[in-house]
Amino acid sequence: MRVELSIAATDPAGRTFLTWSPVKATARLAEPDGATTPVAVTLRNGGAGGGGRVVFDTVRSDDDKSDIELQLPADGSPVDFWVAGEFGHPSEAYGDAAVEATAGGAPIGRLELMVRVRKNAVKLTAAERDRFLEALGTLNHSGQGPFQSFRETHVLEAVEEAHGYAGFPPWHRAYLLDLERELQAIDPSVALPYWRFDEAAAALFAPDFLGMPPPDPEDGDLIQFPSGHPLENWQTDATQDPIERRPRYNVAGPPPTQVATPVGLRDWVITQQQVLALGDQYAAFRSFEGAPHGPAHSSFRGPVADISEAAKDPLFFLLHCNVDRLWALWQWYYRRHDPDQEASYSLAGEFHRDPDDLGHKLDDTMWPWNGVRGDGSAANPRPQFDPTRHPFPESPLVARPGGAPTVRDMIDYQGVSAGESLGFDYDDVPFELG
Amino acid sequence: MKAQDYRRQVEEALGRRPQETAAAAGPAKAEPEWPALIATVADPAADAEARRTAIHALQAAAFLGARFAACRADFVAALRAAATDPASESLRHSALDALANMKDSFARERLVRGLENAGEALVPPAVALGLLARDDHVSASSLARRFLESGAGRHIKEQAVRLLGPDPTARPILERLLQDKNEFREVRRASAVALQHLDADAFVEKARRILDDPGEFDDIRRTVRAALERRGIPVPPLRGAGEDRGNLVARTLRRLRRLFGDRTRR
Repeated sequence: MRVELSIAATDPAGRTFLTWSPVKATARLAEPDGATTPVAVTLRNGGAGGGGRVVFDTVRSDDDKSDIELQLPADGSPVDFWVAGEFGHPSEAYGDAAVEATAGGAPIGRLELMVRVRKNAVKLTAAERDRFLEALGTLNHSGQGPFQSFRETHVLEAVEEAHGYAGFPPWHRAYLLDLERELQAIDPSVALPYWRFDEAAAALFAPDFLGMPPPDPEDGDLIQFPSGHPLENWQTDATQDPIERRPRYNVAGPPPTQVATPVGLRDWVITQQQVLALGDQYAAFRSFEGAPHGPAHSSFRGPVADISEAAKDPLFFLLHCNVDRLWALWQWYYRRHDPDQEASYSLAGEFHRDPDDLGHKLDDTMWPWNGVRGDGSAANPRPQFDPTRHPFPESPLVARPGGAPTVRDMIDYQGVSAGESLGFDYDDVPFELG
Repeated sequence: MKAQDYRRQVEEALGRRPQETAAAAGPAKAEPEWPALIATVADPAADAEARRTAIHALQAAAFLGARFAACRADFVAALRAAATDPASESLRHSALDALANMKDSFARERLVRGLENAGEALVPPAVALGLLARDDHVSASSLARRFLESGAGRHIKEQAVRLLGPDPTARPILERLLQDKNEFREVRRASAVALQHLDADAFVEKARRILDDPGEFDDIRRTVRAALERRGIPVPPLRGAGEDRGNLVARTLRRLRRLFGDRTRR
């Protein structure tokens, strides 16, 4: 007797990747072995100890059952079920998680998969770290790869699309997902890690990860990678810039939460708790663009401290992955997934501009993925150069967000209020229905 | 862990229930403070550390984008003043770093002047070369060559190599540096990186010779080997070398190709 399992989040090569958001699946008797009546089949977690784990239900829920029983018709008709990664138990490598089907205690089906979520960079295994770095180095390809198009998107001339207003979080969520999908086209086991900038992260700045400059500041700020490091050949721009950066704090600990400026004590890289305490309304929450986001950038000397140059340094993407994680955590904590609720998304708030500014209203498409080149007119104020990142890349696993995502498309990234997810999750932000 | 249990954990850590709204973090005053911070940066009588802190605070504010635009010109002027402060090299370095990110012509001119005449140097030569390399390589290319021909230290030469990277006439220098076993190894590796971009065919030829040379240093071979592998060029196993990162890269890529097909490069 054999059961065939099929999960929606499966790519054309037959690889299945789950997050915490439930996806639809089916089970059917492929070989009924003489059965003429429905067969009771149990689905359960079949992964090796220490790897990813999965949970089940017969409906889309957050009930997280460790196993379910299905009655599979003898004629091979499929029966629906839902499966998700079990929160707190992500995979470390493809195949360390599995769905196992048993009948009468005997295994009759198995589907190996990966519970792939974005993780804290300092908690990656060496293998996870190296896969990420290899994919990133390949994407850069000594300055001749697609990474340059990401660098050319986050520049001063396009700054209004993504900064100083309500659309800051959704635009950067799209930007990160764009990059992550490119990395996954190289190595599908990779997810973008985040730099938890309010905690000590010495391992992130170790030589085998994002590295450090020479100990003496008089020797410049070129990151000193060991030979053969995947980012050793990193280059951006016609100036062929390698990675330079020098922390302005001791990386054995986090940057300070406050600094004494000439105008008084001011918030700096505030903690996750402080970010959550900004308030339960989006208008208040999005002040996190001012702190901790801005200070996280200027906690370093080098291109990462400049809005037009920051995306040259791969640290930018890990920094912003944490910014996005903070938004995701806030969304979960305050149940703010419905974009039509003003509490979830609003143009109000301390950082504001003209409400008609394109790219920040819910149903505005976002540059560059909309492919629009501006002409300097009030009717078309988009950046006046050809965008290089369009259309938004497809995923082999999910249909969202489409080729020209809107602000709205980036808000309910887990599909809590409706629809499917965007195909990513964070290791410490669960899926929870209302 | 179920989401509901995790929620209780987060609530305890936060010390409040979700329904309460409060601004627990310190106030953010944003724009009204920027002119005062800029004035501090420009003020030669202000404490150097206070001026540096003001630079960092303004750099953070600049990430608010267009909202900072009205202050940008004043910020640049203040940075230029700080860049020439006679008392504090760290202040000058912070200011010049910010200006170099902006491709500022004043900074470029002063950095070049400092490399030509040590008495006018605002920052050490390795720093100056590195800052210039972010902007215009042409004006500093001859200076970079001079440093490479001198007995300059390793870090200075690394930065000088970087400056030559986009210069098509620099190929012979980069090839020579890459092959010179008496050269600093880090400078040789930097030359490998620069040569790849400048002339990929020349790099591949030199890299293959390096890999075939059993007397070559392991780290040089690792660098060129990894570069060739990422270009999809088959490379022989390292000779006389044990397990190393280059072999690990190759084995990892082979394993990925077996598992997922040849999707490991676009």
